[in-house]
Amino acid sequence: MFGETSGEDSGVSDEGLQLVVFELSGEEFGVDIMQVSEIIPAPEITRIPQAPECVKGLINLRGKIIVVIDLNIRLGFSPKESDELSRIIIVEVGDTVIGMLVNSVKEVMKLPLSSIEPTPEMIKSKINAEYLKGVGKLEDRLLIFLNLAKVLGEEEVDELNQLSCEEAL
Amino acid sequence: MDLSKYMGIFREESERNLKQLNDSLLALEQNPENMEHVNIVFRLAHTFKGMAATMGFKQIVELTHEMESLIEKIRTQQLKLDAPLIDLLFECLDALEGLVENACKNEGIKPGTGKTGEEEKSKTYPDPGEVLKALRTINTTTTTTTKEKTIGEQAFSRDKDGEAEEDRDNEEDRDSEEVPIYPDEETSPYTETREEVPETREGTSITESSSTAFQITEEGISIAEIEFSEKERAAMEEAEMDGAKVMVAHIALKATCLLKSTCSALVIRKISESGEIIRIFPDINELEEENFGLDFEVVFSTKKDEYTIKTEINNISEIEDMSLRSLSSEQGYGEAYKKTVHVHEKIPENLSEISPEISSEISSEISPEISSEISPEISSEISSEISSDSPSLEKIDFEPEKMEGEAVKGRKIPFFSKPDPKIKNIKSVRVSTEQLDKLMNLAGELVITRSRINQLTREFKSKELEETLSELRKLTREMQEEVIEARMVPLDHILNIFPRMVRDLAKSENKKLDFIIRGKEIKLDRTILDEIGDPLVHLLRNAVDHGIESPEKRLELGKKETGTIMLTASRQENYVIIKIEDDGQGIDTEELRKAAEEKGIISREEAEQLPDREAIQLIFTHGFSTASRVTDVSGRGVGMDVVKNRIESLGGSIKIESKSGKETRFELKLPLTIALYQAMLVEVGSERYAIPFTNITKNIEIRTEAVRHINGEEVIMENGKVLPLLRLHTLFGLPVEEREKLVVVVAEKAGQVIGIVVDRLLGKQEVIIKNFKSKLLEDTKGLAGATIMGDGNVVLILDINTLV
Repeated sequence: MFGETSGEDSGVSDEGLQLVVFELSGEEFGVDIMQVSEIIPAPEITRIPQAPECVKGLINLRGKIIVVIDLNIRLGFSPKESDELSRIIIVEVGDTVIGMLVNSVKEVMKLPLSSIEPTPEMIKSKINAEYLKGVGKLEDRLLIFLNLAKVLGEEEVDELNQLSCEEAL
Repeated sequence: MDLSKYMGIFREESERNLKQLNDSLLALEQNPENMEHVNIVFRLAHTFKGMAATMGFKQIVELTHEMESLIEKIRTQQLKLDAPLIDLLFECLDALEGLVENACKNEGIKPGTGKTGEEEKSKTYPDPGEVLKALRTINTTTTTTTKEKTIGEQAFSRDKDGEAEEDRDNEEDRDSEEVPIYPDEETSPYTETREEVPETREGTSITESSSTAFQITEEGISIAEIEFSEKERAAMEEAEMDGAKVMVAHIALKATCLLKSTCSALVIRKISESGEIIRIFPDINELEEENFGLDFEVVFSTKKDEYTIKTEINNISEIEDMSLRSLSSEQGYGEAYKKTVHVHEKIPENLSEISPEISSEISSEISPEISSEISPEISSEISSEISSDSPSLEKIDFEPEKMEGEAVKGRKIPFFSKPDPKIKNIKSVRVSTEQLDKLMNLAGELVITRSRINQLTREFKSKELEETLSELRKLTREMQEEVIEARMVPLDHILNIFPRMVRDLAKSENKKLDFIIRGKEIKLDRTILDEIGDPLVHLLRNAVDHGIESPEKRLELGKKETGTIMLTASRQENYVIIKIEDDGQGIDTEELRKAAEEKGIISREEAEQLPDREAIQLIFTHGFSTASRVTDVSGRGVGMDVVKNRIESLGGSIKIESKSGKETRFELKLPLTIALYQAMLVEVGSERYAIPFTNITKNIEIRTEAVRHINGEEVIMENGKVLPLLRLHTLFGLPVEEREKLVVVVAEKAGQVIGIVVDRLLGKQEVIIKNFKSKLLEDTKGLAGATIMGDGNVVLILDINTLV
């Protein structure tokens, strides 16, 4: 599954993938560093009335207005109040710049390509499989890779698999 | 060199501004407390100032500047607007009108004709000098609390006084016998700016005038091709006497060159900066008309070396090739006009490097005689006789004390020895819209940053800081206005295709009609202009197709055989109103009801209850068309809803009025620019929202008891009409607080009026609309965009039309 969507994997090098690791609801996630333009502490967010629940609101990023998605809600986890650890990861998907609100950002790490595997069923039961690209196994850790285009709504999600955010609509 | 092209625009703009000024002053006379009109007057004065400065009309600048200061005082409540003040402002208005009139007249006079009598004749207008004096008296006597203002004004007026004198001199100049080709040369900074040529001009004019002699290259192969006139020969000889060389430049443009005339004008400009043009082949008029292949030749005299000239010309883009060769008198210029290229390499130094400062210090004289070398000294006074043969050879004498480091700004050697030069300065450049958009954005950023600084520094209470900030405020505003203006394009761009279209359409339908367009000079942001073409086409087609009846039917109905369709554009403050009216059959609301019912858009009861005013809105419903027959042009059931959506997506609105059997009128209200909104900032719960002024009719406050319920909907009675209420709290899922009074913003959406209940009005604000993007928000309605406030927070701009 991971191999199918190789178009975005510009961070792939001989040694492997450079990842920004973040945490949501106790799980660790990885996002290709090439897709991340910056990571900021959560500023004041302006709520958008009548918007889907997973859309946290708008922020002012140096004069640009950016939509922030609450990844907890988007992935079907229970929402979490923002605290000092909360971060917004600004990513570029296609020609859209979007902020992802996450519980915390842990580190930036390299992952050898060999340790990337298809998503185990266990995780698929928790998160809409459409959003997943695969996992990275590293000793005792399991990093989940997201299909950002789909998670952030920039790509159509198969309607049968729609969960969480779509239901909120 | 001539601004006549822009005079038309200036005049139009001025007239419009004057009219607005007049209107606002009239309104103020009725109600001096009306800050909105005070602001308008301020803005108008400011715009006027900007326009006049660009055009170099100093008196207007002075006057409007003082007006601005005066109004600023009224705005800051240092002065109270009373009857005498209003009278004074009216006088200003009249004086301005006079000045504009004069300016236009003067500009209309061909340079060099020497007849300038007209300017003295305008007696019906008050003397601008007097008005100015009166304004200044008030402005300076008022005790101003802000230092910056008085200082600024003093500086300004000192400045101006100096210029005023010069101006008088200048006017004398005009009346005197020897009218220079450009009457305003050597006058105020404004006129200088106008005449001023960018790039190398400053340096080069000194250079060329101070270097006296060059060796004349003689390289004779005699192929007589062109006969020079006596005058031209004389000019050449004179130039040689003066130490210049006569050269022929052969320029070949690239085949891909898009604007040959512009390109050739550029070349000619460049050459004229370096010397005197004697003749151009083909004729300059032909060049302008683009009546030439790819190459042309310029005969000119210069004191510069060929290399410099070559480099300069080659710097111009879209030139394929250029060659230079010399002509000399001994062989007769005509014979020497030949095809070989000669590059002169004997120039001892690069003259263009001589800086203006140096030259103004040099005092010795050089007689204008031919010498075979460059004299080591450079004269500060070079005078060449004005001969009758070369009428424009201007007397050149430098007066260092007058220049004061400004060097040669005002001194220019007219670049043609012909009495009626036709080459125009490059007055406009092409800028990509992308770049304009970017500029626009940056200007917006600047405004936001400015207000943020304002907020951050509020507690410092430093006067100097405040002054600087207020200066910054003025500058950013001016910049923003300019950028917005730069993006504006006259409606004419899209309107000019309509007469033909309407005519053809009428013909194919065998209808007789007059099509009248008014206000095509009105300007709109080009983004908007791009978008409204289709809707306008649609409305016009409808008017022809459904509106105007056939001639027979019209006669039957006792109407004129020929119908009329009128398209009128006008500017109202920050909006452009476009009306499309026809005196055709109007819209039958009964038929609309019936059709809507048949199509299942509304139920029978609804149809019966629907008042006419609302029934007519049915035509904007999706999938609605009443045309009893389908024609090529309209009536396929797509249309009006698309038109409406398009207009609304631009932040505009569309209204329809119709009298069955008599007329139909569409009114489009469009913002001047989509990037800038006038909005009312409101507070709902703990959140702030901006409501565009396009939609707002008024704000009212009502007692909670006044709210009634109809079909479970909250309504109030307003002027005897039912006004449905919309509580933003409820809509936006915010807790509702019980209050005694409700603040209601009365807004209009597609002809329907609703009352939006908010908690508090935070005031009017100019907001820069910013878009945000996410596919997840595609179904989220009611938002036109967002803006960033002075405190850095994001505030949403509501879109009333899609709100409910």
